[in-house]
Amino acid sequence: MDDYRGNVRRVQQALNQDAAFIRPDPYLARRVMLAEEAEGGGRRRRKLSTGLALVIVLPAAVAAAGVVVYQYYQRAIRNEAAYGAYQQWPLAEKLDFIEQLVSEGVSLDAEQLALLQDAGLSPDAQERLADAIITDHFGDGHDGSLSAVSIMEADGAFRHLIPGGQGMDERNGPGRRFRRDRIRNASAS
Amino acid sequence: MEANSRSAALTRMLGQYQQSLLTMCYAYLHDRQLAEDAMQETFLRAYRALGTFLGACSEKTWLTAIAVNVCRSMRCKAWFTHENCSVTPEELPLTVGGGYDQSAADLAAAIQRLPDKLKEAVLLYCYQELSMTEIAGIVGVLPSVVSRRIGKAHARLQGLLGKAYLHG
Repeated sequence: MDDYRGNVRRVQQALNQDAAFIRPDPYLARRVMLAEEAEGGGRRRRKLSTGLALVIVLPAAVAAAGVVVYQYYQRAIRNEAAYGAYQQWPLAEKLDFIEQLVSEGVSLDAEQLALLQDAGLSPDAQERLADAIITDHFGDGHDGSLSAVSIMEADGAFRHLIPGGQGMDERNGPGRRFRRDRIRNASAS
Repeated sequence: MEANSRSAALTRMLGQYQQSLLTMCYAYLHDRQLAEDAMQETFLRAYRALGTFLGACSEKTWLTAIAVNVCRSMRCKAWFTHENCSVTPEELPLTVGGGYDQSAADLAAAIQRLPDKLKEAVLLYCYQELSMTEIAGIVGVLPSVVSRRIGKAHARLQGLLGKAYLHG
């Protein structure tokens, strides 16, 4: 704790000193309000968000590429547009997603699925278990952020687009056996 | 929200958070002009969204998240990669008197040399004193990833500064 406080104090002192020549603008409030008025009170046309662009473009691009499109891809893309990467989805969406995977015949860990049905699980435990099931199947994504593209990539959806690519459609990605331990930890807690 | 209460909220937020966010933006962008622009954009976005802020997180976390997004956007602009963003001699802090601390300057320089993701973690964790969960929400990764980045950043800083970092 002392180490943490010490580091915090030193970093704050260093950055405050580094930016000491910049003073807060006393007229910033006025300038913000003028900018707001000048731009029409925030009633500007919304820019197309990345998520929305993905929703529009990705299914078409994937279909054009001749890739098999599962319904759960669409759900992943829709959720990504609404909430961001998988880790940000609400618990209900995560559970629905797992249900959809099962209904589309995706083979998930039966033991973990049975545990997930347990009515006595707390929401936290359910979420941990759901995360473990999903990340075991699709991996952690890039840098710990599992996106719709990562999910499709883990399915090997883009394999044929890469010359000599191996993909992961056999679901034997190199990280799989290491993620097993995390599933056990999640279900144990 | 009424115009009067919105402007009162804006004034209060500016008084409370402007200095620390400005310092953070400067550390992010290392350019005075850009940091000031980022500040205006941050508070403009916050002002517009005042009515929709539901208090799901603290006001500080909310504003920091906006500032981080603004800084990231500015850093991604093509011209940012080509512009010379170095500090002019007039902007350099005085090195004599005024409580200037060389070890603090070395630490600030070392933080600037960190990769962007590690620098971001240090700024949010050590400067803004946000929790790992809050940072994870802002950055869009798992708290364990934030923890790893902070650990890596400390290790790098120790590597760059040695005992000066450990013992101040």
